[in-house]
Amino acid sequence: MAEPQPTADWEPKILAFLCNWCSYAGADLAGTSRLQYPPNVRVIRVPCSGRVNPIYIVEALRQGADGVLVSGCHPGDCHYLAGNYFARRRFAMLQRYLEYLGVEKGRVQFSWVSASEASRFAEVVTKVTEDVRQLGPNRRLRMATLEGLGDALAGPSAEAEE
Amino acid sequence: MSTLPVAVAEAIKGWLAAGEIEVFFGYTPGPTGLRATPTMARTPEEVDALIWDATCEANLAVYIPKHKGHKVGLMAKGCDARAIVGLIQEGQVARENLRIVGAACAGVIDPRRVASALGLYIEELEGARLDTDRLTIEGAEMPLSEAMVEQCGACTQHTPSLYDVLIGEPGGAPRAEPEGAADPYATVHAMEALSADERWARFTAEVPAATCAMPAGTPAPCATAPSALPTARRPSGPTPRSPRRTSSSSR
Repeated sequence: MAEPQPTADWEPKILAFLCNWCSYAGADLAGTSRLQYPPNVRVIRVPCSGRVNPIYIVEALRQGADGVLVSGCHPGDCHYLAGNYFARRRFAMLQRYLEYLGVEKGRVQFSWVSASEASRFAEVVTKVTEDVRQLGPNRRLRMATLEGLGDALAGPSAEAEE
Repeated sequence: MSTLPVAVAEAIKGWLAAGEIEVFFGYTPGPTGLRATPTMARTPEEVDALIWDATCEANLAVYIPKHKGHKVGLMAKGCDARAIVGLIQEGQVARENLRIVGAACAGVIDPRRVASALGLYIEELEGARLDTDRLTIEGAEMPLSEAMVEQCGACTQHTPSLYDVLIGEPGGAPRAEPEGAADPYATVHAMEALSADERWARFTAEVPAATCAMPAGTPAPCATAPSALPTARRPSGPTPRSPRRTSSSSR
């Protein structure tokens, strides 16, 4: 199957789950420091990276995100002591599973960013955006009905019901 | 089915008589003839009723922790011996409180595999007859290697690592084709060699079409032919599907 080619004006949509105590603060600092990073990320603030259920990530891809970034405190620095350890184990599992399914490597990424690492946050977002741009639009795990809800609701879903 | 060799049965009776063990866990013929039933033997008569053959699939090591503090004896295949070693390492049981009858095992029968090969339910299987390397059942005949638990084909430990008495030869040659499984992880390596596109094609070939529906105009991977890899068993016919959610409501 040929890789779907992105159109000229296509921009990746990336969903970022940021932990309230480290990565979100890091993003905040990046903003107040006037650091430039790609505007492709949509941030969701979560109490802890351990709060992110793997199903959220799959659902994000299903709902049309081209990439997902999950970022939390460095291991050992979790505000809730062990939340990011749980997250790390879950995501290790999820990544292998997505790899097994055939979701391209790099669509779902994880990183540790502390509250003081504004420049690192900018780097991470830049890297994720570039990776996803290389991969092109997310065509897998995507709910067909979301592509132009108005007229397509009848179209693709009727086909899908075949 | 075959009873235990006389020497082995005598050894078990000796342990019971001498009080070295209080009870012996073994197998008796199962109702379908394809899977032996675990049983407890306390008397010489009960020991005489014990069997050992390729239907002895159950792992009797599970009864050890349930009889903590008691001296017990049991039958163990190579794989069961690994479980016993695990229990000993975790301090669940002391080796001196165990009497183990090891069995050089060439693989055990998987009733599910037999049933699916014959297109029947497990409950419908009756009158199985076991020969040295063939299984006769329901008018069909199949080599034992095709009725075996698939993992047995990749077994590396046919002879138990610890035993007091052994049935069969130590390191005895296994009966069925494990040589064919030179690489026990062949399927894993085959999967690892696939590209993301090939994996996706394989995955979408196994799930209902709606799950992987594409926006109009894009090449649909669903239409791609499934790869040569073994695919998961799935009942034919329409697959029930959960109601579609059209709004963006979240779970």
